[in-house]
Amino acid sequence: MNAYLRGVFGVLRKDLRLEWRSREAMTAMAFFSLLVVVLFGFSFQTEKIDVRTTAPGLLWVAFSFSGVLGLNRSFSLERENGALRALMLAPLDRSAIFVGKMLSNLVMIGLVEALTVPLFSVLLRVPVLSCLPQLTLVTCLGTLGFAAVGTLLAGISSGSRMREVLLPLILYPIWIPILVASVEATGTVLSGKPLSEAGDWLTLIGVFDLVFLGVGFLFFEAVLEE
Amino acid sequence: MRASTISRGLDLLALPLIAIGMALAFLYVPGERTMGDVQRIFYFHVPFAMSSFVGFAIVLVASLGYLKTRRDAWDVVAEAAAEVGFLCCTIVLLTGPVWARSAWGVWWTWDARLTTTLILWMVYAAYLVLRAYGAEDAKLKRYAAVLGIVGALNVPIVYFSVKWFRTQHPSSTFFTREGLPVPAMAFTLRFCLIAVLILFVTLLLKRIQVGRLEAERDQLRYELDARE
Amino acid sequence: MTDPAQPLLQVAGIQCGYGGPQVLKGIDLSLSAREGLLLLGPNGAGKSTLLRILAGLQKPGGGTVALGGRPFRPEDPDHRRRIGFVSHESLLYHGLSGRENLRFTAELFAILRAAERIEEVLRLVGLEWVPERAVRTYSRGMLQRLTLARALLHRPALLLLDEPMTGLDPAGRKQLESLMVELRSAGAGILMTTHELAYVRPIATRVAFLKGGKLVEGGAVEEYPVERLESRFLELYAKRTERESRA
Repeated sequence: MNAYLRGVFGVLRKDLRLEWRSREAMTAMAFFSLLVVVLFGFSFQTEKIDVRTTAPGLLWVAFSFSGVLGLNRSFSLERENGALRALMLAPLDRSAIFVGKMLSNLVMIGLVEALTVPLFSVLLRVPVLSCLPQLTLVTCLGTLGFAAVGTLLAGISSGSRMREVLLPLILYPIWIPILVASVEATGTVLSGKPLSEAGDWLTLIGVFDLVFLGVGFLFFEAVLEE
Repeated sequence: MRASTISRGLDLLALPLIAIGMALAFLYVPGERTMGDVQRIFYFHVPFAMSSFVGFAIVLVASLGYLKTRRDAWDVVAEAAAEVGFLCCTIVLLTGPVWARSAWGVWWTWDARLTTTLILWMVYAAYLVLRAYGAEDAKLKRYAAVLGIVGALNVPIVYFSVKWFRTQHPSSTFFTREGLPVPAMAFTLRFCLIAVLILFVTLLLKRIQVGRLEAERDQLRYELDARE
Repeated sequence: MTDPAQPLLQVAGIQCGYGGPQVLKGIDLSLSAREGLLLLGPNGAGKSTLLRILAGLQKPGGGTVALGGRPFRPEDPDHRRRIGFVSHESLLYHGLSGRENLRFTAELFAILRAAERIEEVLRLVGLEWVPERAVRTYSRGMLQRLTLARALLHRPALLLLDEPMTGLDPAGRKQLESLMVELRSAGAGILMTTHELAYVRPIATRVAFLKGGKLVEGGAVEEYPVERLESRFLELYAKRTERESRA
């Protein structure tokens, strides 16, 4: 168990250290997320549309787009010089690589989300402070699912001929159910209603999270093989 | 061999059965009071919907089989089921709106069951895109298998969650007798279901055969190239 | 633990053809400690595939591999500890420095007294002075040496080298050669592929030619001076190289 966790955190630390060096991915992700919010803000001309109904969707679209950037980046670093092979050669459980990378993706996307929400709140005039804990919970649950299935599928896309381009194509259809549930739950929370009202949606997200974590845990090894 | 006789038998049955089914649906069965004649599409729309779900179930099982045993036979089945299932799903998405237009006045609504079918269609499409542009051989089969599993697990979760939420879609009329007022309707529906399923299996078997031949051809090509 | 009486590596009937044409059709070979086997063959013959299978990176379609008398199970961390793998890819993170990469490897392999061992290995490959800059700024030669350092960090008993000399200048190749000889006399077994036939002599003790998915010819390296290696190479793969040059 000890060795397993050591492997997981080794991978996690390495990913974060690599990212901290260049901060390329984080910058791109944060900026892109902001761009999405601004773009939509302009298109919807917030005075005319009830922002309350479109805001949750917008937030999660921003997360989804910048999240794919981060996932792609995370794996292109591994593939570009065969570094992933080095991980496979190490006496490391292959599923530990999955957990480590999933956690690092989760952290990076989480940071970008933490940056996006205040900007989103200010630009679109949606109050979030009153429901911050609930919003955080919903976002964490949804992002966990994204990170889990995203890491698995990014492993596939990075090893394919189409590379980065393939990831959105295979990820988004599978991501839609959680996306819908997250948007609904976020909408409930942002309008000040208690968490229990979003209970059904949260349960759905939870089920997906478990399924995707399980599948990733079991099948990442098959994706890593040559 | 028995397998090819069964296959032959199904080949011969499929089209006549479909033809009879169409006759039943469009000529024999009485029209539904409120929705008019376009409603008759229902007798094919539902069976194709079920076929597309069956298709994905096969993709799931075949993908798991491939990852477990690494035998190409499983992979050929998965690919075939995905293609035929995709075809069925496309038919569902094409016939659905035609019916919806006359029944509810709109081509599309974002209700749960329609959305599930659209998602299923997109997952199928993603799978086929991966297979078309993905990677070189061995890797591709593994990747496709993993994607097949993830996609296939997605679908039942969405489908069952549909039951918890209100939907504009008519509820499962096939399994509740009171949904279909006239026994002739139930009969037609069941007949068409069998006809479409047989068509599905026929297409599937044919596609599997094609897949096997393709694999053989690839091997021969390689041998030819490698010959010194 | 390894049984010293058994050969280091024993391969029987390895086939590779999962999901695609069969590249390997039945490879048998064995390698003992202190032996160096040179694998020769044209590009695309399956040399790299074989090495990847032996490294546990790829699953064979059939056949068995045994390490030190026991069946090789890539999932077994102890087995992975015994193998060092070098290919033309650096297997490094270009955003980190040389030492950082080695520290990461040391962490993964749970190497004791890692800092000491890292310095030791850097000395072995002639990189004691390696800069703290990111690896992407290194020259090709430095990169290749660092790749080797990474592979040697955990003191593997079996070294699998896939074209280790690419990108090295003559001085670098000479250094690699003497390092390999040193490692071999210290007890390692080396399986190598290369096109640099001139540098083969001291490293390899045996030679084998791969053709049509099988090992078709081979013997002690004394029977194969460089000219004979070259001429045999051309004879065996004549049609292939001819077709390649025509294409």
